[in-house]
Amino acid sequence: MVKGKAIKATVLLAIALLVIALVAGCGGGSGSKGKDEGKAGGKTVKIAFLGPLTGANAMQGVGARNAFKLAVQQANDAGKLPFKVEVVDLDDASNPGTGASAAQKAVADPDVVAASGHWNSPVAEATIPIFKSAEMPLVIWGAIGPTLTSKENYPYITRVCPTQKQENLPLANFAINQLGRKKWAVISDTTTYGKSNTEAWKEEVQKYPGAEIVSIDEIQVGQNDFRPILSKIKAANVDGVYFGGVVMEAALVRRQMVELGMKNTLLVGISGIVDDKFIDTAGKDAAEGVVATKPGKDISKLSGGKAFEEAYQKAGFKEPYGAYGPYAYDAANIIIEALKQAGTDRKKLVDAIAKISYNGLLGTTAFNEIGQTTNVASTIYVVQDGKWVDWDVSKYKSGERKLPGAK
Amino acid sequence: MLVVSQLMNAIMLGCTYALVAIGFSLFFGVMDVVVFCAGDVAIFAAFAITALVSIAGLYATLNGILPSFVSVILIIIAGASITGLLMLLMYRTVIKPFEGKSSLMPLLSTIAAGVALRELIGIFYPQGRNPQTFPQLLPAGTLANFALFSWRNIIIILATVVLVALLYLFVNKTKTGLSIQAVSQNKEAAIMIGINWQQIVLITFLVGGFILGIGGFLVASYYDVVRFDMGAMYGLKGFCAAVVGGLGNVYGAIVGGMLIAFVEVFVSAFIPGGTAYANVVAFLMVVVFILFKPEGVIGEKSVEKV
Repeated sequence: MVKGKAIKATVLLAIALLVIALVAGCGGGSGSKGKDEGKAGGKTVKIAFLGPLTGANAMQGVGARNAFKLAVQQANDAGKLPFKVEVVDLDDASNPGTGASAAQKAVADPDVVAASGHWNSPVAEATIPIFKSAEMPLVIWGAIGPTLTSKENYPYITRVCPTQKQENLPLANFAINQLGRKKWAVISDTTTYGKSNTEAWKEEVQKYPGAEIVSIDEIQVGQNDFRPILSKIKAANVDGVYFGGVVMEAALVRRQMVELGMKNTLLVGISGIVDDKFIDTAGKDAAEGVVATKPGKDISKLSGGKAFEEAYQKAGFKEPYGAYGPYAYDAANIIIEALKQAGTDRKKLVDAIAKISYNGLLGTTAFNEIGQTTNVASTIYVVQDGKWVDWDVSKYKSGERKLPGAK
Repeated sequence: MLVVSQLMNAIMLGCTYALVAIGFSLFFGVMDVVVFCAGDVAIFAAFAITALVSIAGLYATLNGILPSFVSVILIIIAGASITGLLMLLMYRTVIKPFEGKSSLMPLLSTIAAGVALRELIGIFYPQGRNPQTFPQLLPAGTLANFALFSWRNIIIILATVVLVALLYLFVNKTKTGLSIQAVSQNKEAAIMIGINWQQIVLITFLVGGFILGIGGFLVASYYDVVRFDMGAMYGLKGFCAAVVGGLGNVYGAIVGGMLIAFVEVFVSAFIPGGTAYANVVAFLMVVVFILFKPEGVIGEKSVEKV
């Protein structure tokens, strides 16, 4: 009998643990702080932020969330609107399923009038129909799949950051035209993000006579071992490796490249890898000389950049704002501006956002006929001494150092 | 040259699969159960070791009083012992209650335990859902300036070989090991000649958990990162390796691990555009094995085994 009881107790304990795990897992996203914060004459105005707050890309989502909150906080403090605005942050965990249920949650809340979301294009793909059918405006702050903004999705879906196509163009110009690298190996992940990167890069390479892609390898997100692919690429003797994926896999690819004696092979990527976590994981030495492009200009060079950085520091956020923080910041301000112009009706907001011309941190953002931003300045970055440095001020440009594989 | 380096890649991958496959085979051999949480248990060890190294002062103090390789070994043994004990706990809570019942029960309960373990790491380890950089405890550098033979690769291969050799000696030359074999071959007869069956089972789980722990450490060292959900795929590959090699046969586990790793590496290396299909081909091979050679490469000829 005693034995039976012991087993029962263990089983009960296990069930209790599971329940705790489930509850903790589900309840993590909705931060409902300060109940009276968003009330105005009994009315609460909420805007939703969606992004990867946990998971492999959490560093991107959390930084953008902080910048987004900062913009709202500043608007509230300055009394820009006749009511206070509250941010509802929802975790999409880089997972389309999780993202879709987060979006459902946002549109189901009658107080939520607009949303800004997503760093992962597949997640945005899953949530766009939800926002469209609820007729709620979604301003994309960080997902760069080209097809997210389209005629069908206009005017509900707008995007403040450039698409992959808009990103690959300056990178190709730099790496192929300016550096003169012709023979490329491509590694991309199997997500929509990776596949459309491969397509965009292929298109760009074709524009330059003599440039060619010798191999394309598709990897899984979450894969850890790239040595077989890299050994093959090493034997092909390429001028450069193009990586069309995100931080974690990129860092492991670079790390294993160095391990296999390919330190002298150039690795280039787009904004998905411009993150300090890339350097942390790849290791400072291995990351040295990796080149990537990021849309927008160096924050410190922008007119409002210094004020933004200071305000961000002052607000006491622990995490860096990351590559897409400034976009999220502008996205929040665009929504606030639209609220000012059109009030809190979802439908009116949709039109107000689509027609907006907003002069923000990144310059003047306006949306074209499919909701895509026309503001596409970009910067080339290179890793130098464990930091992403603007190419124009780097030791590589000045000739003090040479990029991997430079003749 | 390319073939040689791809061979090396495959051997390394094979070693990592083999270690978890050995765990599967050991448990199956003695208990006739498939302990499906083996992959997650192994990754738990990697997290335990990461935690031990990052506990403030512990590693530094150890390094202060002992030569650094001794403190590294101590930490690895500590991590592996934790998983050994965890495996005992698993046995007591999710395997023993189903003794003598359908073997499907422990299969399901260990799958559930694996999921729970994975999620608990994700929830309770600081920033557990983010990939963690695994502390590099193995020496850096290469043998004779030859990129293929980094010390780490050599140590991983040697550790696998030594572990298997020790296991061989333990199973064949010690009384406890022989008792494990006896129980594995005929439980009733073993009990009749006075073998303490319960004790043998406990020892098996302790040893199996320890091996899984070492396996987790070597895998994480090879990849440089640990993710909380790595155990799922790792466990599945290990199980497939055990099945291909012959479930219940420790040497088969090594052969199976190598086979799967070779198929994976060579598909991605020598078939243009094959990388995306590496896993597809590897698992298809497993299906073919189950269909046409269910006893595995060096398993005993009995279809029941799988």
